Amino acid sequence: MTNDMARAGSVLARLNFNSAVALAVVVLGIVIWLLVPYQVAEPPVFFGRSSVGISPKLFPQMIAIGMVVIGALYFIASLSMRQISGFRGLSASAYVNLGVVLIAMLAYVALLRPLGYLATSMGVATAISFYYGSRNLVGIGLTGIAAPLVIYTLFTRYLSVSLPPFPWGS
Amino acid sequence: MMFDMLIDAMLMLMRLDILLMISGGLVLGMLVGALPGFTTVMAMAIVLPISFFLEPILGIPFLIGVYKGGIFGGSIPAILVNIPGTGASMATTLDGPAMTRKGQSRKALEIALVASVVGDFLSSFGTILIIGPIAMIALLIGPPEISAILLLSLMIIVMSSSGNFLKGMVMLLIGMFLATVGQDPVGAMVRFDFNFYPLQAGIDLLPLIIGLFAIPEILFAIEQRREAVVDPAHTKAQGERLRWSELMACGRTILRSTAIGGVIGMVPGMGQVVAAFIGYSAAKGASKHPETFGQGEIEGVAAPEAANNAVNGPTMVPLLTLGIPGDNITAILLGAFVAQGLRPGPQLFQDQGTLVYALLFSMLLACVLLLVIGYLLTPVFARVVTISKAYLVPLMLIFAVGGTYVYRSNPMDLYFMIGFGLFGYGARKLHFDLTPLVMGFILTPPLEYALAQSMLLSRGDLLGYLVGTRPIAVGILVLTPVLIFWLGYRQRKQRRVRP
Repeated sequence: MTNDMARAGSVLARLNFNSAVALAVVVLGIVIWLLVPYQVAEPPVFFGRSSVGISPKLFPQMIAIGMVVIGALYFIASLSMRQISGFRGLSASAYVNLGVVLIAMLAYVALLRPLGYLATSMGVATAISFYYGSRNLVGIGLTGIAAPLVIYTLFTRYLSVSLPPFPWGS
Repeated sequence: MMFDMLIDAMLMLMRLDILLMISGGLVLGMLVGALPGFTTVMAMAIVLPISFFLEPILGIPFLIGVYKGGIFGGSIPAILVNIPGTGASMATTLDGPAMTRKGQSRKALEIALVASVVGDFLSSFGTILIIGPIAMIALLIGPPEISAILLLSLMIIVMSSSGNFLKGMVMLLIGMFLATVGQDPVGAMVRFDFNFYPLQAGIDLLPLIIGLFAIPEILFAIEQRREAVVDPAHTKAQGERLRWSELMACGRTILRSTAIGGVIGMVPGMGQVVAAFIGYSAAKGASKHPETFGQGEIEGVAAPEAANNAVNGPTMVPLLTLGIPGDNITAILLGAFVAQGLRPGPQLFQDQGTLVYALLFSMLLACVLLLVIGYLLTPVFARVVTISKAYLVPLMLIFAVGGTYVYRSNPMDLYFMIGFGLFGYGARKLHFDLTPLVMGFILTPPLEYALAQSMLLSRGDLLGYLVGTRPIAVGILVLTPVLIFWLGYRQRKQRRVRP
């Protein structure tokens, strides 16, 4: 009993981020397997035979099984892995920086159509450049004003594709 | 007939705009390659959409220019400041910085350039010679062999990806699952759309590639707002120039490394890093004075540079003859081909032979231009090492967003791009290699299609059909586990040898 508890304790002590990812992979495999009947349409059957060589469910099911098997093996292997997660050494300020840029990216994408590519790009590029620590007006001007103009012109004039125009444009 | 095609292909390249696009690609590639922390793959992912809207003969050579410029550009910071600009130039840091410390940085940069160009040119020339016959052989193989080759390629990619085999398999399975979203390639049945309209057409390659390769670079760069800036004093090419006699003395090393890189380039998943280190080890092993390696030996720069650039041309062999990209860069090139309506595979040589050969010849042209541009601009790019990321990060972001949007004008692609970016960032933080994911995503639809065709051909008895009539497919399927076991055994042995 004491040995069993000690062994269980040592296994728990050896759990790491790889173990957590491995379990997530197993769960993902099970979820995919359960979703297959509801999320994969069946091809029509003619004269009792399928019209295609393999069922569209085959690959998702194989992938699901693969995830469960590989996830289980990965979990066992993870107990002897000694990798250090790259998130461990990150400072609080790094998380703040990442959060700020992520919010900026999402806002950029959300406002792209209503405000147009040029206006949003100028705003985001200037803001990130400034947030990153640049106080050089020439540098910020080149990044925040000239670069979006050049990219917009490149795509719309030279490559003849459309980017959302100015909000007041056609 | 073949001769006429080659002449037509050469004539197709005689255009000023092609020269300008390749040159532009080379300059851009060298710029990004020279920036520590930014990769050639990222540069190619970001500029990929530009190629979609150009003629194939302009767009694809432009990407080839970025590719070649980036691989060479990575050697500049590797030599000057001991920071490899790209993974391919890691082996160059073994002797390059030592030459800089000895006041021979100009010589080191020049031998890197010449070795890169010679290695790349010869291997690309070899590629042009052998790719036609290989494509003709590939025409003879059918769906069962294609299925077996795709399976083998996926396994090689997983085995040769950096990190653990099981972690590589996890990434591969996730990539395969993402490829099943949307319509299946056989009967166009909808899968995993969750009644969400944008998912019905499936996940597009472009947001996946830009998301996985460009956004994580932005996130990694933004972690530290003010990073340590490289001392500008170290970013000058100094000392005497490369002498002809020194170049001739490196000739054998360059040729050996070219052969090594050429062979490695044809194997999916191996890539420049492996070639560079093997080229370096071979040069050291063959040298009469191996003790000078690591202390600023000129052959120690020439060997990895020739080897890593010699990989560039032969990676086109599996891509163009079988439609199998061997690494992330050729996966991006595959995206460019497909967007242009060119589906790589043996049939492409029959349908668009002149264009394919023109694209292959553009690799040779890019090598010649790299020599000229590299010679003129290397001192300029040496200064680039110090450009602040405060300007580069927003530039990358607005280019990535613009490029992703213009392809389908669908804002949902941008959300996918950010989602994949976050996933890529997290995966890299947790020591996952993203290459198997991308390869799984790209190769699953053709694998599923080829398997379905094989099933139809076998009339329900796949095993009997394979054993009875398809010995090559059976041979490849038998070879696959043997190769996995051998590669695994070799990796374990190498890990034991390393302290």
